[in-house]
Order: sequence, then C-alpha cells, then structure tokens
Amino acid sequence: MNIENAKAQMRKGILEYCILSILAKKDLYATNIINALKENDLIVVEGTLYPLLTRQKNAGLLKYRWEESTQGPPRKYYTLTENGRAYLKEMDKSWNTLINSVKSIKNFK
Amino acid sequence: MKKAIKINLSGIIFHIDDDAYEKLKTYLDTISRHFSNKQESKEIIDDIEARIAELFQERITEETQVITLTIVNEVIDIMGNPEDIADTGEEADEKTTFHETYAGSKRLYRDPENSVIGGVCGGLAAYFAVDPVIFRLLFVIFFFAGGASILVYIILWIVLPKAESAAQKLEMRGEKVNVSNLEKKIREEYDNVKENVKENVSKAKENVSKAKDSVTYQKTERAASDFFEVLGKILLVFIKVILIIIGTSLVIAGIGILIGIITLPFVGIHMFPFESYNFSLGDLLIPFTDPVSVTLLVIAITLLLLIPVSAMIYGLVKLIFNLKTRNRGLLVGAITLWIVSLFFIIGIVAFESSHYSDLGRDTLSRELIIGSDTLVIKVNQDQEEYLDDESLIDLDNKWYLLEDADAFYGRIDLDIEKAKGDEFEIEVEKESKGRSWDNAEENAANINYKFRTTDNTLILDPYFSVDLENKWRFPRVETIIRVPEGKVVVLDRETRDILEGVRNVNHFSDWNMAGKSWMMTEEGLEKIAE
Repeated sequence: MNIENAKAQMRKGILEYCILSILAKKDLYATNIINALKENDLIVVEGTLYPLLTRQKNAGLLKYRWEESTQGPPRKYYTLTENGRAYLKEMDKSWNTLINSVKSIKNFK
Repeated sequence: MKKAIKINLSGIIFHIDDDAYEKLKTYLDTISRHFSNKQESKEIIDDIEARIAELFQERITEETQVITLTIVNEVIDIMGNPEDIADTGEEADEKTTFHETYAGSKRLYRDPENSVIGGVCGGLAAYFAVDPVIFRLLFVIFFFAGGASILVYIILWIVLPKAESAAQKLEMRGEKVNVSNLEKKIREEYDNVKENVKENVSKAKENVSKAKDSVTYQKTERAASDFFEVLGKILLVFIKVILIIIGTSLVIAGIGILIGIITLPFVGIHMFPFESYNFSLGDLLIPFTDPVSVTLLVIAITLLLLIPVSAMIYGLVKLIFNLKTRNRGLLVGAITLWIVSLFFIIGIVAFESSHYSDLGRDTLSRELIIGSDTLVIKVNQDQEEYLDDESLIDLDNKWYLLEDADAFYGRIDLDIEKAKGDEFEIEVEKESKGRSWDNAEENAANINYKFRTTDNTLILDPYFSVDLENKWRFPRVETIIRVPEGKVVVLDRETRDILEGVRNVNHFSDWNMAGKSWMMTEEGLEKIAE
C-alpha cells in the first residue's frame, strides 16, 4: 500500500466535511476556502475543490450568491442552506463518534 | 517572436502565447471530459476558469503583460492534474471504477494526422483500433460496388468532429486520458507545432520584406491568401479524390492482371490464333518440352510477370493511401526471386533450344508402278475427317497440334515435278530438328507418314504424325510426285490444302490447280482442256 495514496484517500473522505465546517462560520468564496484548506494541509492542488463545491451545491447543501470583485472576476460566495446545516450536524455527531472509536481502538490492549 | 492570442477568461481579457493557449485549452478540455454530467462539468469548468483568471491576474505585472507557457504550467501545478480533480468529483458517486470506464470510452473523430481526404477512415480506424487501410479499402470497394460509400463518407466528414486537441486525439483512440499520455501527446504536438512555426516564421519573413510597412497591403494579402488557401484546399481534395479513383481503378486492373497471370498456366485462354479452343500455357509447351521443363518454365514465367505487377500494385496502394511502410527484406527477396526466375527461364530456353540445333532428313523414294499413263492423286478423307472432328490448333495453316489426341499432327506439303525416267515416282522427305545431327535424323525417321495406291490412284494422308512420347522438333514432310513427260496427273479437289508452290505453265495457283487434270510437257505441267 502506498502511504501517499492512503493519506490522499483519508483527506478526500473528510474534505467534504471540512468544507461544510468552514462555511458554517462564514460565507466564503472558493479561494478563501482553498486558503483555509491549504493552511491546514487538507488539499494539495486547488482544482479538487471545485467539483466538490458543485456537487454539494447540487445536493442542496450549499447555495451561492455573486459578488463583484475589485480585482478579478466576480466571485461566488457560498453559504450553507438549512439542509446543509442539518447535514453538518449529523456529520459532527458521526465525526465525534468516529474520533472516539479510533481513540479507543488505539488504546485497546 | 511569438504569436499571442486574446482570450476571455471569466469575463477578463488576457493575452496569451500560442503554445500556452494550446496547453491551457487541452487542460480544460481534458477536465471537462472527465465529467459525465455536462451541466455539472460546465459549472466546474467555469469555477476553475474563474480561479485561473485570478491566478493569471496575480502574475501579470508591468513587465509581463502576456501569459506565457511558464505561467500556464505554474497554474496547472496549482490546480492539479485532471485526474485528481475528477477523482474528488466522482467520489461522491459509487463510481470507483472510474478510470476503467473512462479508458473504455471512445468517441468518433476525424483524424487529421492520418487523412487522405478528410480523415474519416483514419478516425474510424482509430476508433476500432485497426489499420486505416481497411476502412479506406472498404470505402473504395463500396464506391465501385454501388457508389453509396461516397455519400456516407461525405456525411461522416460533415458530422464527425476533427480531433484537434491532444485529449480528443487520445479519446479518439480510446487511450486513457491521464497525465503521462497527455504529456506524450502534447510533446508530439509541440514538435509538430514547432516545425509549423518555423515554416510560418520563414514565410512571415518573406512576407514582411515584401509588404514593407503597408498594413492595409498586408491585410489584403492575408485575406487573399486565406481565400486562395481555402480554394487550394478544395482543389487539392478534388484532385485527391480523382487520383484515388484512378489509382484504385489501376489497382483493380492490376489485380485482374495478377489473377490472369496466376491462372494462365492452369486455365485455358481464349486467344488468337486459338480462337475456338482452350489451351493453357502448359498445353502449348508440352509438345516441345518435357513436363518437368514445362512446370519449371511456367512457374518461372509466372513469377517473372507476377513480381513486377505485384510491386506496381503495392506501390500504387502505398501512394493512394499514404502508407509509409518500408520492408527492405521483402524488396530484396522479390528482386532476387525475379532475377532467379529470369535466369531459370534463360536456362530452360537455352537447354530446350539445344534440341533444335541440328537438322536431319529421312528420305524415302520409290517408283509407282500403276500400269497407266494417268495418275489420280486423292487425299485420305478418313484422316481429314478424323482430324476435323478433333480440336485443332491452326498455326499458320502449317502445322497442327491435337488436344488430347493420340499424336501430334502436321500438314504435309505436296509438290509435283518432272520425272527423269518413264515411271511415276514418289518421294517422301521427312525433316526434323534435333540436338545433334544423328538425333535429328532419328527424329525425322520417327515421323509417321502413310500413303497407298489402288489401281492408278494414289491416296495421300494429308497429315503426318509424331508420337506423343517424341517431342515436336519442328518436323516437316514434303511429298514430291514426279510425273514423266507426256503422262497425266489428275489432282483431286481435296488436294488444294496440301499443294504447295507447284509450278505450272498456266501459272495457276495451288488452290486453282486442285480438281483439274495436268499433262507433264517439256515446259512443265500444263492444264488439259476439258
């Protein structure tokens, strides 16, 4: 098994959750999200974000509004929908359970 | 100097180098093709384009106004390769076998790199992973079979898109669109472009020197050259189509000749002067040579004709379909075989012609005691009828060969001369060729010829024969009848075919001499008035 591959798989799995978590605090446009994810080493290349955003939007978890920008093209500001918030709540729960499960597994003797 | 293009990325105008543009376009195309859902794909691409526009803007400074290939590469590095992008997108679905399904997905394109006319066959061949020649042949065959294929071709030409980007070309072949494949393809394309650019640059230099500073002149020149370019292209396609039709006709004719050559030794031919009978090359040679020589000769002659015709067809096909195959071994082999065949033929002909080097004679001469002053000469009708029934080869009305007959037959010559003595005489002079004088004489003696007398009638066989086991060494039989002075010879009507150059006082032709009575006088034969 390739360690880089395994890491990537792990990252990918939680990426969706992280995007929703970031947007729960603040409305952001793609580049902001990218920067946040990059700072935390969650993504390596930027391109991977866009399909996820589109998918989440199509799934009704996100919606966006256009905002003009002083430099560059108009920006899509994403925000969580009601569904998105409910979904995130569920994800939070299962994440906490997961963390605990992993912890207890690690401490298993 | 580099050509730059103006592009609109998310509503912002950028100047981008030609090569950088190609790379970016390929990149975006590849990403977009990774998504099965078109709507979704467009949205993602729009987002990515917006981000790329942002990244470009960050990189434009006062000094660098143009997006270069370096910048594009940098941006692509930031954005990640198409597979990674697609991977995250598709992950939400159960499509874990994404690559496999993609690798199998192909699209029909026209292949501009592998085109004779419009690249339709090239594209079809790429799609089905076979040699383009197969499709070209099919189109040509169906064109000749009914002509519908030309319509199909034109429709496909219009309907199918041209595979222009590297990703499209990969897709056309069904190759997996991953980075290494793309890179390979792009590198190939880059080399192509480099060459084109070189050409264009040198052309442009010429143009510049011609055009001086006149911008309008340049513009009109460009418009004109565009127009002529299109016209030239149309003309070129037209000429190509015509050449292909001509070439294909030649190939078909050539294949016909090939089949002819191959079957010639085995199947009969209808050919002058054997109009009514089928004789194969082998049949024609059998009377002259032994079967082994015939077989060898037939094979050698077949090869001698076959090789150049095949080579011509091969060359023609290569020319029509733009094939670039080089097979030295085949070429050397073919030439060697041809030369060997040639020497074989020379050898066999030399060997066989040695059988004809000497001439031998066998002469029989005797008096005809008939107890009458009048000799009637008739032709053996039985033999005439027998041979007429059989299929004959009539060569120069001089000798005859029989197909499936009991012997080889030849017509005799009959001459009438003045006898020295008081009796009628007959002389049968048989002649034949042979490899030596002795052999020739033996061959002459082996010629069968018969005649008989009843009362005062001499009945001559119109044909002599050579047994099948003896070969035809150009035998000849001349029968001379000597008539004493003052005696009469009556020539039956049927003798007209065998009389040969008989001199007579009346200067009658052989044909007219037959059926009449002749008296031998001091001057020669003279017609007796009826």
